[in-house]
Amino acid sequence: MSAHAPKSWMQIIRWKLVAAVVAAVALWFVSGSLGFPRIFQWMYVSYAVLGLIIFVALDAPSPTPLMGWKAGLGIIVFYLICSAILVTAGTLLPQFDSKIEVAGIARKTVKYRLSDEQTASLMQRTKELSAKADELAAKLNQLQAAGAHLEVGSVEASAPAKPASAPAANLSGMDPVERGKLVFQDHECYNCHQIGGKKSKKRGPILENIGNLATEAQLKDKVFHPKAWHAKGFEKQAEGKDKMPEKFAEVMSEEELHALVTFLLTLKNTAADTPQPVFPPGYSVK
Amino acid sequence: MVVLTACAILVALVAPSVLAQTIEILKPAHFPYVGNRVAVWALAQLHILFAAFVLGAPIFVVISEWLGVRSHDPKYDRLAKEVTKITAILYSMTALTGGFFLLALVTLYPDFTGWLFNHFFLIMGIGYPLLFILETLVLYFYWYTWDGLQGDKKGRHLAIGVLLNVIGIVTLFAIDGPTSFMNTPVKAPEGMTMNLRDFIETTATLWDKMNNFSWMPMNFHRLAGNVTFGGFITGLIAAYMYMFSKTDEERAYYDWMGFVGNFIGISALLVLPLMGYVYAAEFYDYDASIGPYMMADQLSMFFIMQGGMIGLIFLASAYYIWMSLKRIEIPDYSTAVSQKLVAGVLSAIVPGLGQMYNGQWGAGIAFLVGQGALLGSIFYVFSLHAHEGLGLSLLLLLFPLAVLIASSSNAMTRGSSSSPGRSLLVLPVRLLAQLLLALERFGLRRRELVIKCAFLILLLGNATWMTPHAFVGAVSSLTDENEAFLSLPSNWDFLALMPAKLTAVGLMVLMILVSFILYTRAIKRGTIRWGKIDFSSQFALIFLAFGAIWTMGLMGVIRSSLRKYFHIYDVLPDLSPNNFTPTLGYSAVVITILAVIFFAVVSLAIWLALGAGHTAKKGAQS
Ligand code: HEC
Ligand code: HEM
Repeated sequence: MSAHAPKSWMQIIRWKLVAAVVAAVALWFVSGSLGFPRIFQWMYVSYAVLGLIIFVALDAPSPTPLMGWKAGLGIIVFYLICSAILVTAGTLLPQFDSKIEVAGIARKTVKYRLSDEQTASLMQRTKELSAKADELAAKLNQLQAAGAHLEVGSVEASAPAKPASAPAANLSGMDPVERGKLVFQDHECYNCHQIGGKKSKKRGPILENIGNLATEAQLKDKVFHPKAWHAKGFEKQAEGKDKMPEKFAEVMSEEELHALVTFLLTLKNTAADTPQPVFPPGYSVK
Repeated sequence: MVVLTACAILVALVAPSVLAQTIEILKPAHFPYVGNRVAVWALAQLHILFAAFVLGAPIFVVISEWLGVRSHDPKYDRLAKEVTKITAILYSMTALTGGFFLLALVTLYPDFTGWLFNHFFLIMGIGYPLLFILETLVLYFYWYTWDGLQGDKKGRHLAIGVLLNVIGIVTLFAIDGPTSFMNTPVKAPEGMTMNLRDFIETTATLWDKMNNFSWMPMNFHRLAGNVTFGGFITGLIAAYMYMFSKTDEERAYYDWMGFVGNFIGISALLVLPLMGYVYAAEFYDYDASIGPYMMADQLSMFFIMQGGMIGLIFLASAYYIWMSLKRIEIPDYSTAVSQKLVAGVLSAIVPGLGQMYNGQWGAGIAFLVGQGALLGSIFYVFSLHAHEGLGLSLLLLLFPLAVLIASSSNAMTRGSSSSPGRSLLVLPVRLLAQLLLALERFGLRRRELVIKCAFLILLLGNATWMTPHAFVGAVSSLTDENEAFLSLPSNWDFLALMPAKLTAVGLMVLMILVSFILYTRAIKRGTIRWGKIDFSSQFALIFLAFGAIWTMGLMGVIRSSLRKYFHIYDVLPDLSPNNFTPTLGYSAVVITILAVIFFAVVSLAIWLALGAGHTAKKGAQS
């Protein structure tokens, strides 16, 4: 572009190198002091390196053209380099663990693998078993209340159903609360709802205290019919782009819903900022 | 070639009607070695690559032909004809891969394929094959009448070209119906309490199913994507032919063709981010959980990869423009791109500063306030917080500002400000101006400075685009312990959200525009020495094609993975063993292999159509 004599590589690189080093150091320390984790710092520093490469390439002296078979070879080598870089990049970036997803899909597709009758009979059996478990638990309670000299504190006594009904209460034979946690994972509620902590930075409300605010029937209604009622202060979201998806009635089984809500009901941290439910006038669970 | 086409058409035509009833009862076969998913994946991807080219290329081919008529420059007609020749060859590959794709669908996924055919029978069974045949006929007619319909009859030939495009676009829109339906199947209208699958199977009309949430955005995204792709492949053809040219005339012509290919590719590329945004917005609207799934959960690293690819594509094309600039001979270099122009371009971006530059301080300030209000409303719409807004507006303003100051530094230092208020305003501007002037004394000339700033902003924009919510494959691997080491600090979260990404990519688009404007101005003032372009630019052209192919492959994986474990999202589950998401590393290997196969075929087509002896003959003719 310019009229003056071609520069040597040294001349081309010198100042750019200085600038890149300064930029890299600055990026490292500024991003570090702003609280960016190491991996982000490395990424920004690598941009300084990329910048150096680009700016050197911009001023590099032009190569002698390749001709004939050399051009062909050049093209093939170039493809190989591009391919190698892209495969390496794709492999080096963090990968998810397919096993986790496969297990989740296996749980979620039970709904589709079983026929309706099978599901119904399993549900029936689940209900019977959990009723039986409740019965047993009630008996146990009575025994304790009657002063049997068992060293069981009142806290455990108030939740006795858990150990008794756990093995049989759902399809997979898991503890229902653990099972419910998995459903929360499997159906990605976590992408919009935080659990743990007091405040949420996600688009939906934090659910840490929902067990104190809504009943089992109301929560089931909310998950399958999100428009049934909404969280206080979330009027805009309940209507707008970020609204809770209405697909769960399609993709979740009754068994999953039951476990999920069982889990939600255990979330009783009064310190958390979970908003109050707002029910429309005359609301009753369908 | 014609025989292959005919065979594939036959399969496409006969298959649906016979198979629609029988497919559903077939038992799925097992594809040896790679498995069913990779088999269908490979065939679908290769098919869409060929299809994207044969649908995208005719759009600018006809424009080029028309430009040839208008400008009386034979280069345009030659370009149109050469690209059409390659289109015709690749068309048979489209048909071939399409036929095999269909076969694979039917044998490997019979129940799903049967279901989809039943629901779109009119489109997939009748309309699409008919359109396909019509398209074949018109394409070959267009090709074979090229030499016959010259001179007075050129208008007729152009009309055939337009017809070809109309059919092509209708074909694209038709097949996008079922494809987009798989991602966003139509929902029952508000108030109708009906199970989704029942609604689709009993109540929804064909039009309801076609006109689903993502249909139109997919149509437009693909339309622009196809033109981009066609342009970059044209650049590839030019690069190959340039390298193997034997005469200076040939080199001059193919140098020009490479420039045109890049120009087409880049022009269409600039609208893609917007189209992509609209596309994504429709997905969000359909189901708000898709947003975080893409940007923050299981597909976030795929989007990092996409960001990287788009960044590289932008950089490569800016590099090509830079190389093009270098071979322009401008008599009076230092005034070639005047200060006024740079100030003008940038003041279009930052109107207030432009006014100030011209000395109208009051108007300038008014503009700035107006612009602040505009930015404010943008932030309101995206519901950003103040500090996020500040970060983004700085990003948006800082660099153009610096460039503006640099280019207008003379005027500024000459400025005749006397009132204290004014000089206070001018002071920081002056300081910056001095700094940049000092830089200039290091030997950077203005136009170089502007373009180099553009490169800086491209880098900056890309770094923003590449900043993820967290460096994890999926949220499931983000535990409480590693969260702090892998996630953005919480007050910088906005960097990972859509508005920041859009600002970043918007900036990149802007920079390409600025470079291009500088380039076209330079062309007007100087003479281009066609054929004398820096050789390394040819590799930029090849990379652009490679990048476009790879990006398309990647986006295809993303769109398919959005359906999760469903063939039809939320409606028809995929219960086959490969119903989980392929990892990024695995996908990268498959995409790369497919890209290389595609390249091999295209290179062969170019060699068959234009290489080996053709060039010398053509060169002698023109
Ligand atoms: C796309 C984001 C999104 C997803 C995914 C999502 N939700 Fe919500 N959810 C919201 C929003 C937004 C609100 C607040 C507005 C409203 O109440 O409709 C909400 C509200 C709620 C409430 C009421 C909270 C209160 O304090 O009143 C509950 C309970 C709830 N969601 C449960 C769930 C469960 C369980 C899942 C997973 C099956 C889930 N959500 C998935 C966005 C989502
Ligand atoms: C920044 C500029 C962008 C470029 C250069 C680009 C490029 C492309 C290309 C070339 C295709 C293939 C088209 C075809 O198959 O015919 C594609 C498809 C796709 N793009 Fe983009 N895109 C961009 C932005 C986006 C954005 C922002 C999103 C959404 C977040 C997006 C989502 C998709 C999806 C889901 C597909 C798959 C569609 C399909 O399979 O047909 N794109 N993109």
